[in-house]
Amino acid sequence: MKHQIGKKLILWLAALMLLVTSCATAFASPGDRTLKHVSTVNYDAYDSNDLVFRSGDGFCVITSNDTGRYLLKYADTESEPEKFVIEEYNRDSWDEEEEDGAAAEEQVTGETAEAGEPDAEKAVDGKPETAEPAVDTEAESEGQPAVEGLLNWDDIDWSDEALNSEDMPEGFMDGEMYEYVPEPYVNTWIGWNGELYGIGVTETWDDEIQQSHVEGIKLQRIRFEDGKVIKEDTEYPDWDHEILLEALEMDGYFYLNDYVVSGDLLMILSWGMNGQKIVTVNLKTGSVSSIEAGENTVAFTAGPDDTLILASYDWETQKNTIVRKSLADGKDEVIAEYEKGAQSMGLGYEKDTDTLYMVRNGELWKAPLADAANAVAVNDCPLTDCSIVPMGDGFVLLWNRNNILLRNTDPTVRGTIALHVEDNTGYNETMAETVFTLSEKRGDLSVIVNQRYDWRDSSTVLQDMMNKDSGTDIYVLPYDGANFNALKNRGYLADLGDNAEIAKYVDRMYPYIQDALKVDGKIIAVPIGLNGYTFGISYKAWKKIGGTEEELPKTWDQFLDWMEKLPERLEGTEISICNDTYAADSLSGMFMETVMHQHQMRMESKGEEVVFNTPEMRKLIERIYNMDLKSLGMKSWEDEDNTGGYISYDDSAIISSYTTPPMGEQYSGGGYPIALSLAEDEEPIVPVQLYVACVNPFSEHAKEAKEFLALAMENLQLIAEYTFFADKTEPLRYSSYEEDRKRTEKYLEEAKKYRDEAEEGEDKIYAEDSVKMWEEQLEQMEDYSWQMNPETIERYQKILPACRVLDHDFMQEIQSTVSEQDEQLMKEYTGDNMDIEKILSFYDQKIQMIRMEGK
Amino acid sequence: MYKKFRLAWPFLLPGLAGLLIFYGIPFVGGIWYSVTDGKVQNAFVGLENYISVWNNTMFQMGLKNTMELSLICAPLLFLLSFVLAAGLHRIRPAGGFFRSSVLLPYLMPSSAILLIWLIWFDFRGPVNRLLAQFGAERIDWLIGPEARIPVILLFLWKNLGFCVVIFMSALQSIPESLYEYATLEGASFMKQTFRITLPLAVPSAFLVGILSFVNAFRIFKEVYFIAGAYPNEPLLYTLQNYMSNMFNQLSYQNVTTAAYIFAVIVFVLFGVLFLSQRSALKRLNGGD
Repeated sequence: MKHQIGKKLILWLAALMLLVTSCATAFASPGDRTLKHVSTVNYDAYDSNDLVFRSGDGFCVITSNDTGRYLLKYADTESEPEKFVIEEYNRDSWDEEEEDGAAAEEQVTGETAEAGEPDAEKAVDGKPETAEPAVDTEAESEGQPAVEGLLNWDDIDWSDEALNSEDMPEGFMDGEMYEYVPEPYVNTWIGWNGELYGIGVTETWDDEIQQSHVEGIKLQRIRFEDGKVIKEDTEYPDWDHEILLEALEMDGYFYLNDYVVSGDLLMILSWGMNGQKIVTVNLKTGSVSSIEAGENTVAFTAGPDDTLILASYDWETQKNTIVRKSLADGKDEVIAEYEKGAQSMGLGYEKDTDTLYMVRNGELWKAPLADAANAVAVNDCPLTDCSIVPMGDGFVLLWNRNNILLRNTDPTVRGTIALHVEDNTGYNETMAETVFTLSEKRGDLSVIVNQRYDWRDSSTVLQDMMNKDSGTDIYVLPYDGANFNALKNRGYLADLGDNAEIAKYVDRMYPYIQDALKVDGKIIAVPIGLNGYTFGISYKAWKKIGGTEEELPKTWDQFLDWMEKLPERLEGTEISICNDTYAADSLSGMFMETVMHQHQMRMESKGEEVVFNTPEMRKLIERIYNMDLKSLGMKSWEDEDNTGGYISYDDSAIISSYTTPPMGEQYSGGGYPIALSLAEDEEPIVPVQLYVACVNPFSEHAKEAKEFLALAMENLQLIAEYTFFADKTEPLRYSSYEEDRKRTEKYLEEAKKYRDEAEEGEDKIYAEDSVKMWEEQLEQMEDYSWQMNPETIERYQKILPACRVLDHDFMQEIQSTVSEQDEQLMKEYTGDNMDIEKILSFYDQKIQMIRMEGK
Repeated sequence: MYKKFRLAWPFLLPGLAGLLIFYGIPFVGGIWYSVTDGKVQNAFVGLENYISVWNNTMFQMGLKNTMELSLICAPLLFLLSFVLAAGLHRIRPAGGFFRSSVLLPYLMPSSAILLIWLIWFDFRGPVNRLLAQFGAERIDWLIGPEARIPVILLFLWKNLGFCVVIFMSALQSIPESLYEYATLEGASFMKQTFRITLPLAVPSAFLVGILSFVNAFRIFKEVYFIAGAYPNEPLLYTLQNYMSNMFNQLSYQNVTTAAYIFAVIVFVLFGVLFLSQRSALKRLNGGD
């Protein structure tokens, strides 16, 4: 008996333990769900959310990927979605109907979004998709030509039988039958009163000015039926599209970025020539009006009683201001101001509970609208810029292009441990991405990533260290910045080496990276990303004009000589000298910065004091600035014949600016940094600038912080991964490559078959062209299928011995501490009448002071 | 007496507590930091920091420049405020407007004043335009060694009002009857100034003197706004620049050390001033 009781007790205890451990995650974040997450660190395949809107107790998602566009209908927040295919091309419905043997009710109209700009990548039966007419076989059988619009090539029945059919309209092969009848296509999806609508835009193509024109805009109701989405015309009048486009300052096109629907109003945040404004469209009447939005609006949402709630960020005071704006008279009422504001935000308003939701600084906040100043953080949120859809049950949906998250708004059920990350990289997604990875492993951890961009490296880390503040657990800082240097020099960095995972990751890194991360045997930080740009050269473009690797320069002087001779080499080719259309404005500065970094590193490695004003530097920089870039064919934005600011990342130019050192472009044909030395008898230097993450030595969650950083090493951007890890030397293709290649090969085969069977004459010539086109496409596919191409890796391996991490950027430090007078002086010295001696002395004097202070 | 003393405590306590928390404890606590290496573990290094800071070229430069600026600014401020106070005292009651307006610069935020200064002393600004009117060469007021002049003028303009008010309160507390009696006795203006005004104004003058020096030692905002963390003109690098830059490098052991060295120098200086005050009072009171 006793035994039985004992057994029962043990079983109960075991069951209880099992229950507790299995529910640990649920306890930590009850109800939180990641409904969709697409990694933003490494782009592989297209998958984007277009709209999330509430519908009944659930919600709907419009999402698109490489295979098409879909509507996902969630009956509630817990259920799995029902999937509907959105057939944007009327032809698709026709195809289906044809398969079903049903008569086509709609005429073939084709996709009008890209009307006039046929997609060269899509083709079938070995023929390129061009502006050719199409045949509706269904209609054909009824003896009516169905050529009513511009079709995709694969709509056409290219069989000899069909082409030679008597029903084939005369002139079909010459394209004479082509007559484009514009039909509306869904440009933007909106949710209105729980239903889905499309903003149907009708466009025509104007051959003369080579531009499309919006001919009309109207609402289309969307129904879901038999797994499909069906568009229908509505009873609502067409919109006054001319007034709308004028208000949106759009010429010939229609595109909405930020918009919300409230009541019967569609409200659009527009960036016009005279600042931001809110353009409203009454969905019932189609009437359009607009009001000023104020400055620096970063988010907006619909408020109660025909008002809008706008959030702005002031870059000077770094404050967020939340304003309630009346749509009737445009009057503003400031309802809250937040110190340490967020540069990106999300806003949402729940009418039933009069609650305002905000996403800012890595957290989800909620407050009654009337008391927005006293908002409470209720959950963490790794998204910086997102829309908020309140679900009315204490949950909200947070969504942006890549993510849909369901978040509980009850602050009492948050994770038991909160890690705070201050990320000053601004654009690097590694930290945010790691939150998703961590949440799968450690549900008890709540991670708040406060991401901001700060070019002056003015983190509060030093004040935190002075105060022994444990509020922030992880800092992400530029390695060469003054802040990180202070932490490093004063020993204010926790040793990350006691985390075995981190130690393993660091051991896998290239020695020059390891050297930067280890101080006295301790791992003081982990690299998160690369900071800064330099210039490079496209070896592929160079090869195209007959250049050889041996001809390439090894020193700066040789490089400048080589550059001066480039126009001669490029004559008669389609290759330009630089990929930046405003290279005349940027290249000299980029050269000078690289030269100065190299010089600094050279002197430091020799153990000498850094002095810039030397005869050698003066001569070199003078040469750089005296080079007439315009005479070499480069343009400035000031030039009347400039072609607009544009940077291409392919083999269309020899010199490539704004490439990331040390690897350069991940894609084939782009630019790679070139290792140049300052003098013939010296080794070249490639300065590498890093962003690193370190752990606060006063952190109360140092163990968890290190665990988080170990996971961050799995979420590095691809270029960072290949730059840091010595064992990452295998090229990597996009996951869709195999499938794309097979498809293209199939098209090529079909084209060849068609060619072989074609009779001599026009058909044969056409078929030959078609084969050639597919062969070229296959070749191009090889080039553009790389996420990390072999050439990038090979080039990097070649310049590896020259790579060194820049550990202190004097110029950046000086620029961030100078007075207004100094700034003027710098402008004066580096302006049109560059005074090299003065600017170098200027830097030297400051550096000397920094050094004499004891740095 | 004892009862009165006990009654005073509740009134004194908040002030004393503030003094203790914000001055006393940090002052004593800072001594500890000045004898550590300033790293996370804060290892004791004895007087090493004092030696290294004292020998640091930039500390010496900052100290020298600060002392120079103080020795120029403090006496100027003292003299000007006394003259102005005496003048305003003479023209009362019509001087009410001037007496109020003289305090205005003291109440204005430094950043706002600096903006005005930057405009006035710009190379193409009003001051240089005025000089050009008289046929003189334009001067780079904000860049070269001349940058000290706008800094000094700014200091004087900002602090003059406060010192004038102190002097004026001292002057106003001197009974008018003394001057009337002296006039009747045939004492000249100078004699009245040296025999009546100065002896009675010495305690206030001492206060103004001390304040002038204290404020002059703290010249930083003005210099920082005009010349930045690392002034282009080395003459503008003050001790505060050194301390601020050290703070930004997390070298707070150097910040505290520099502060204590400077404090010792200031104590010595004030000691000298105090002794001077006593001897001046003795002399003015007829040598007793």
